[in-house]
Amino acid sequence: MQRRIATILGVCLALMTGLAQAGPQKDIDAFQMFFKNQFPGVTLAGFGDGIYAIDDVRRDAWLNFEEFAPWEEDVEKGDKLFHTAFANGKGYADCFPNYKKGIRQDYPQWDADRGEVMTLEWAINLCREANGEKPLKYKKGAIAQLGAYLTSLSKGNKTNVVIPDDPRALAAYEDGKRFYYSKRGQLNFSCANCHVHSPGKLIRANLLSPALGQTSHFPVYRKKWKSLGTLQRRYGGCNKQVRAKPFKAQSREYRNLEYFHTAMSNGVPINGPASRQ
Amino acid sequence: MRKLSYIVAVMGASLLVASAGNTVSADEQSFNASYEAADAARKKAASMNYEWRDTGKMLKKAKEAAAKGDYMTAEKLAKKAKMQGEMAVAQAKEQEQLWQSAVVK
Repeated sequence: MQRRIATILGVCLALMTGLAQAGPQKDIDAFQMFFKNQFPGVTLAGFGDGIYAIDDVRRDAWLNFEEFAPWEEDVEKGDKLFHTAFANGKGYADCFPNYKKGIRQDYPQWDADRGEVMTLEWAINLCREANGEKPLKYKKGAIAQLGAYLTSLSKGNKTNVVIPDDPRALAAYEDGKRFYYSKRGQLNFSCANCHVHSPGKLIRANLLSPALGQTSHFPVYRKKWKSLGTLQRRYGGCNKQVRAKPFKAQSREYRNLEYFHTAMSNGVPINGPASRQ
Repeated sequence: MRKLSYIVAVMGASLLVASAGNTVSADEQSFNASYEAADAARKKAASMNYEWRDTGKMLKKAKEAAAKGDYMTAEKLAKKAKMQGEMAVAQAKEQEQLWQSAVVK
């Protein structure tokens, strides 16, 4: 009798886990189909070009701009930083042994030991701290340059965010999903309002980019910034623009958001760093 | 009797002098109450991760105006900040229910 109960409970748990796993993949499939239907001429890889995949005039201007891309210098600086040893003699390669094959596509990822979403930028700083170095600020400068170098080595690798069979990972994913779709700030906008329900529409003189493929090209040289910046720099800027108080870069809120946001672009090849409006 | 009257008069005068040094104007009292209420609303919104961008700045400007004695401006800003805090809390509660309806399915 007890064995029968245990078996039934085990099957129920497995079924529930299976259903839970179906959640993120079902979301991704629905999300990508939604954008394919909105922009039928754009391939999955093409969405990585953002507004330049849906507007020919802007695309031509962008391609011209990228011929002398301002972020190339950042990649070189990132390369130099990456290969400069820490004071203890070790280096970033000790923390990221597979960096040459490209690692950007695997971030963010679930860190089961910490019970947290691990972004590449946080991993870089944890590497530094583990080797006696001070952490870098998270939005621009050296962290973005290191990210640019690692992203450049990942070009062509398909985004591959994994949400494992761990209720904590699923909870983090769901938290990011809730953030993405929740209106906030005095202007009462959600991320989805602009990038899911209004892509291709004008916001002042700029076009709203589709959410699909948005994460593939970070860190990004943004013309408005006149510098390279991380994805979470943009999160903070977007929140301020809808008049919500932004969260700190690499806060749990933004890491969970990045987890959901990037997972939606699974399969989109990494094509950063890149310039944007 | 004269001695008693004298003592009462001195005590009365002392009380008057003591209270004069501790007087808080009605304007200042009113502002303090408005500020506390606004800050409480802001904190409640913050605890729900829904604080708006400008609420904190408004409260800071309110304090600055009060420090200059401009209680009219200070009160206005405090009331505006309170409204922002309350609306942010209402927004947070509303979105708890509504966000799901926006999800792509």
